[in-house]
Parts: sequence; structure tokens; C-alpha cells
Amino acid sequence: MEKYLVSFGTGLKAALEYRANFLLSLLAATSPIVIQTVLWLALFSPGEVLFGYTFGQMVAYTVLSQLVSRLVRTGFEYQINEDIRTGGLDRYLVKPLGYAGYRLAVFLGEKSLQSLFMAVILVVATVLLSMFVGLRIGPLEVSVFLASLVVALVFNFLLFWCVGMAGFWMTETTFLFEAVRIVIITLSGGIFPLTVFGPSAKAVLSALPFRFTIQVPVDLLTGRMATDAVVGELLLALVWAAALALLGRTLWGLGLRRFSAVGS
Amino acid sequence: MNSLVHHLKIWARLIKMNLMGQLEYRANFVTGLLVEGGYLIVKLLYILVAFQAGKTIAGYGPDEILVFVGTFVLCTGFYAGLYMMNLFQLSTLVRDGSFDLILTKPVSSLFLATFRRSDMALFLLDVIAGLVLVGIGLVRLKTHVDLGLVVGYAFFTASGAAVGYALWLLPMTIVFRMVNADAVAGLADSFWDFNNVPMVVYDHVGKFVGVFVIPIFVITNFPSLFVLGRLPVEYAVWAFAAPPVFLGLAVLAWNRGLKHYSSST
Amino acid sequence: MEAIEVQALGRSFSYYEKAEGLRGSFANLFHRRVLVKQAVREVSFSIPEGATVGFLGPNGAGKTTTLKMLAGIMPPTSGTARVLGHLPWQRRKDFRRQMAIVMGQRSQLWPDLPARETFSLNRAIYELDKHEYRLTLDELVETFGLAKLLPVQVRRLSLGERMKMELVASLLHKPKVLFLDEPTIGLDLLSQRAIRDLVRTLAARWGTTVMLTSHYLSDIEDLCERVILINHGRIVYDGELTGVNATLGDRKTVHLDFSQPMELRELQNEPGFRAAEGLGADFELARSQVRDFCQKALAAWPVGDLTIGEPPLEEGIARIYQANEGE
Repeated sequence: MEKYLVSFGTGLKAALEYRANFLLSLLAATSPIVIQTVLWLALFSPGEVLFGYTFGQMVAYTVLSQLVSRLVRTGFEYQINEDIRTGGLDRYLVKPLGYAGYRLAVFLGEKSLQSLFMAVILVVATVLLSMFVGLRIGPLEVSVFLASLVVALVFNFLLFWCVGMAGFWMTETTFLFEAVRIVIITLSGGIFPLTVFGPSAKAVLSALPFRFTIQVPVDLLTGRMATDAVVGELLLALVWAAALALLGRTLWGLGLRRFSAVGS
Repeated sequence: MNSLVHHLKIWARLIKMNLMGQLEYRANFVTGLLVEGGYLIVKLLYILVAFQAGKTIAGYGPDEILVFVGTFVLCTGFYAGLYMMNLFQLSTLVRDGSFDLILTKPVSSLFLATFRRSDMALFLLDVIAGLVLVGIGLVRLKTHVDLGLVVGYAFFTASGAAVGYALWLLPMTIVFRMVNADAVAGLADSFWDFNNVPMVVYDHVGKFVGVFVIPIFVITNFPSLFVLGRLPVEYAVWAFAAPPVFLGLAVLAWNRGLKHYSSST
Repeated sequence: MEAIEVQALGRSFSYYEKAEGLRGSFANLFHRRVLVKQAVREVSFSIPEGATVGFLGPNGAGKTTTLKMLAGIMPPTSGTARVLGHLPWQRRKDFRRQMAIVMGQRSQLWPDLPARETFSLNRAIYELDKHEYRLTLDELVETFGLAKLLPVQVRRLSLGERMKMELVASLLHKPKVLFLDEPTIGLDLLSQRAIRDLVRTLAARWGTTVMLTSHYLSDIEDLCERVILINHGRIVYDGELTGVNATLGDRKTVHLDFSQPMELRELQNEPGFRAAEGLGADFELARSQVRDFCQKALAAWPVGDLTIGEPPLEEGIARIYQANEGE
């Protein structure tokens, strides 16, 4: 247990050291926020509903999804790859939960610090949004949002844990990770809300786990999810979490076998 | 002219060397294309939005948006394929002292430092994809394509590429003064996507600033507007003037910065 | 006109003082002290065409900074210099075409490609005539013995092979002046010797002026007739290598091999004693004392063999440094 707390601390310290990078990534959100807002200004007629959103909701989605996607973003898949390359994995080979647990603890440590930064920014953003597009957020929305953020982090961890397992089979993974990340963000609603893909695509995407990382938290914060849908979503989330955890475990096992046989 | 040919010969050699080096790493070659493909998909989403919304954006229909975004993709080929990664690496070049070696070669250090690396795979992917998109858009709009159109499009694209190079180079000239210019490169890179949306969605002030002050809109909008027959004369004239003006500014800034260069110890 | 003329060259670097602790960091937000480091001061010398001169000094002495100024990489903050008649930091094209610099810790070779690809790049950069280039390349490859390695990726070459390739790359345009900054650093002894031999051969054949910095004495001993010692940015010696000892008042070493084991204390009592090992002992004396000492030793001790020599150069140089430490 103590080991995990220490790892959590490691993540926190790392996030503190690289805070400039994180803040920079937030600044980089300016571009998509500006061009999309201007796009919606040009597209929406007064009072129109496009892709299931009013103008105000769409702008709110644009801003909040950019912020959330940066908050839940991972990076440890590169470190997993590094550990596989350098043989640093050896320390953890005894217990599977050991390495995954370690990685999760570090990840949560990083995110806890970034969440502090993000909390401030989100407050500012929501105040501005309420002023300019009439966004209304109450304590209920905030609390379910926070809960969904935890779910989002866990999901992103599981997803990119599985992605990181590629390091057991491939040596040059940098670009692969980046390519996968772009696709996952797109399918999570990180570029546009998933409704722009059209009704049939949206149906497929609704069954997939990706939207729990961005689309769902933002929809919850903006109060777009009907209360009777929450239970169903929760169940779906649990099923996917279990499935992803199982996949991650399996890949880890397969990868380790190959690792021990081939060496790093 | 002699100097131009000299530089072109060196550039051709550099491109060839980069390609040779790339082909050494087959997996990276493929996955690199996948990444660019991923970014391409994100750009295409904007077209998707235009089509799904089924209406005009500031007087431009979905097919015209196709031409705009296609041109944007084409221009990204120049950006990502020919000079972007050099801007990202400038900081490293200065830090590890490789820049010293560049300075002692009898060629412009600006040229060597910013055209050193290239990625023909990305270049071709974006250029071909972009041309396909533009082609589809023009066909759907039943535009008459003649030599004049092609030449004009090529000219405005070249003018835009030159302005793009100058504009993205300008912030990087601080690399001689600042240790951590990587951050600037990253931030500047995020602004490349500003051209994903045609400038027609901005108001007068926005358009003016984006065309004449920080001419980011010159890059992809001018070729598109030209080929759609909607390029105002004053913009066409500016397309001749902007490249030398901004390239001149960039070179000035580079030389100014070089004066402060004291080499890493 | 000398190939390299340096007059009172100086270079200072200013940097911000890094404060200690949290309070210091906070104070730094308001006011930072600017500190100045004088890396090179009042350096003057001149090097005639075709000469090979070594620039020797400990780390941080200012040798690399001086070299960089002469190569045009950075301007001085005081004084002036001319290389081949040019002010190096103006970086005239003519100047750059006639000089070359090789830095031991940095490479101009592209790692994932064979060295010959970088050679071709240099041909384009220096606008070398195809025929001339071929001849020069063949000559260099032959002299360096690199024919088999030309198609090998630079990454796969050993450090020594890489340095040879580096030299070839920088000599393709037959520069009149060659600057070498720590060229043998990190190389094994055999490679070090090979590099030195090659530089010496080519410099003699082409009449290249060579200026080399190193902190390996053997580089200088092998290649240069003349050495410039630099310490704390200042020249402390400029002249023949052999003259270094003379500057210090002529000391000699005497090595004695005894036929029987000797009492250590007896040896230690003798002034000039330096060390003893097995049946041998070393002494260091002023030249004037050598004769008397030898007579005494031969009379009093069971000496089997006696050798008179010079103290190692390192010692001489170390002493010069120490003598200047006080300044």
C-alpha cells in the first residue's frame, strides 16, 4: 500500500515539474475553440438546433470538451514502452497488479495536480459560458461531473494501458501511440460532439467505451443527460470497464511471456 | 540566380537523404503516415460538419468548403513535410551545438537549419489527399478547369506556402535568446489549424487582421478563393507583396537573433 | 600575412546569478544579479601558414571559446583576430569556403546513412567540381584506409572510424585552415594515434594550417612543434614544446636501479627523492645538482643502472598552471 502512495507522490512531483507543458497544452486549445466557435456563429441561425445542440450548448461543448480532453490525456504508454525497452520492467514482473497498480498510482498522482489547475480554469470557463451563452450549472451537475471524471480517468487509463502493451510486440511505437490517440480522441467526442457523425454512426459510437472519456463528462456537466439514462450509462460503463480490464490483463500476460522469452 | 540554383541543389540532396534515412525504419515510416492520416481525418471532420449541417456557411456551400479544406490539407503537406519539424528541432540544434557546425558552412544558416529535415511521405500524403479533395469539390461545382486555373492555383499556393514559412519561422527566431523555445514551437504549431475553417466566417476586423496583419489566411484561403472565382483584386495583389514582405521580416529577425548567438558552452 | 593573427582577443559571458533556496528564488523575481565570466582574456598570438599549433589547457580554460571565435561561430567581446585575412565572425562566404572545423563531441555526419552520403551533401554545399571532388575523396579514403567502410551506416561505425569519416567530411573542400576541437576525445589509444598520424600527413601534404585544442598532452606532443598553454582564459606559455621545461628552470629526473634492496628511510632522507618501487627509485633535481648527486649515489649505494631524463611534460605544464594560479 505504501508503495502506491509513494508512486502517487512521484506522479504528483512529475506533474509539478512539467506544469509548464500542461499549461501550454491548454493554451493550444485556443485554436480549436476559436475556429469552432466562429464556425458555429456562421452555421447556427437564431434558435436553431443543430446536431441536437443549441448554439449555446454547442459553444459550451466546444470549450469544455477541449479542456476535459487535455485533463484526461495520458502519456504513460510511452513510459511503459521505455520500461520494456530498458528492462526496467523486471522489478515488477512478480506481481501483475504490481506494475499496473504502480502505473495507475503515478497516473492518478499526476492527474490530481493537473485537476487542481483545471478546476480553476473550469470555473472561469463556466462563468464565462454562463455570461455569454447562458450555460446553467448547479451542484447536481458538478457532482455527477466529478464522478464521471473519475470514470473517465479510469477508462483512459485502461484504454492506454492496452495501447501501451504494443511495446511488447513492436519496437518503434511512438507514432503508433500518437495515431491511436488521435483516433480515440475523435471517437470520444474530443473534436466535435459525436452527433455530427450522423445517427447510424452515433449509435455505434454510443455502444463503444470511448465516449466515457470526454463526451459523457461534458454532457453531464452541461446537464444534457436525462436522469433516467444515468443508470443505463453506469451499467454500460461498468461492463466496459470490466471488459477493458480483462483485455489489459490478457495482453499483459501474453506480452510478458514474449518478453521473458525474447528479452527486452 | 546562381545562388538559387545552388540552394535548390542542396535542398534536393537533403530531401533525398531524408528519404533514404526514413526508409531505414519501415515501421516508423508506416506509423508516421498513420499519424498524419489521423490528423487528416480530424481536418475532414470539418467538411463532415459542413455537409451534415446541409446549409451554407457565409454564402459558401459544402462543395466550396470541400475546396477550402482540401487546399488546407494540401498546404499542410508543405508545412508538415518540408519545414515544420525543423522549427521544432531548432532548440535542440542550438542546445547540442550542431548549430555551430551549420554556421561554419558557406551557405545560409537559416536555409540549412530550416530545410534540413523533410518528410516526403507526409508531403505526398497531404498533397495528394488535398488535391483529390479539391478535385472532387471542383467537379461537383462543375468548375471549368483550364491551364490558367491550374497555374493560378499553383501560384497562390506557392505564395501561401512562402507566407506560412515566414510566419511560423518568426516566433522561432527567439531560439537564440531563450533556452526553451520548444514551447513556442508547440504553441505555434497549434495555430496551424486556424486555417481549417475558411476565413469567410470571420467579420471584417477578423478578416483584415488575418490577411494583412498576421497573414495566416493568405496561406489557404487565397488559392481556394481564386479557384472558386471569388478572389478580390486587392487580395490578389497582396499575394504578390506578402511573401517578400514577410520573408524579409523573418530573415531580419533571424539575423538579429544570430547576433545574440553565443553558442552553448 | 600570417594565416591566423590574434590580438588581445577577449570573450566574456554574462549570466544571471542563481539564488539559493526559496527566498532567493522569490527575490530573483524582482532583481537578478548579472555575473560576468571572462572566458578568454587578452589572448594574442599568430600562426604562419602551414603550421600546426596545439592549444592546451584544462577544462574551462578558454580553448574551445577561442577556437569558436576564430571559426566565426561567435564574436569576441574585446580585441580582434584575422584568419586568412578575414574577420571570422563576419562569416564571409569566402572565409567559410576556406576553413573547416571538426569538434570532437559533435558530428556533421548523418547517423542513419553511410558517410558517403554526407560527403555528397558537402560536395553540393561547397560547390565542388565533380572531378576534383572524386580525386580528393579517393585520396582521403586511400590515406585513411576507409574504402570498406564507405557504404556502412555511420551509426554502426566505431568511434574511431566515425572520427576518421568526420575528418574526411571536413577536408573534402581542401580548407586552408583546419580547426580541431578535442578531436581524439573518447577514443582508444590506437584510434588516437591513427587520427594524429592522418592529420599530420595531410597537413604536410596540403600545407594546411592546423590549430588543435586538446587536454590530451599526447595529441600535442605528436602533432605540434608549437604549443600554446591557456589557463583561466589567459595564455601562460607560447613556444616550442621542448621549451616548456626550460621555462621552469631545467629540472632533470634520475632513475636508479639497485642491485640490492635498499632501506627506504635512507632514500627518503635524500633531497630530491620522489618515489621508490621494488629495486628502483626516482629522484628529481635541478640540472646543476645532477652531477654531484650521481657521483654520490654511485659511491654510496649499490647502483646497478642509472638513467637521467626529463620530468614528464604534464608535470611541467602543471607547474606552469600552478605558477599562474596566483594571478
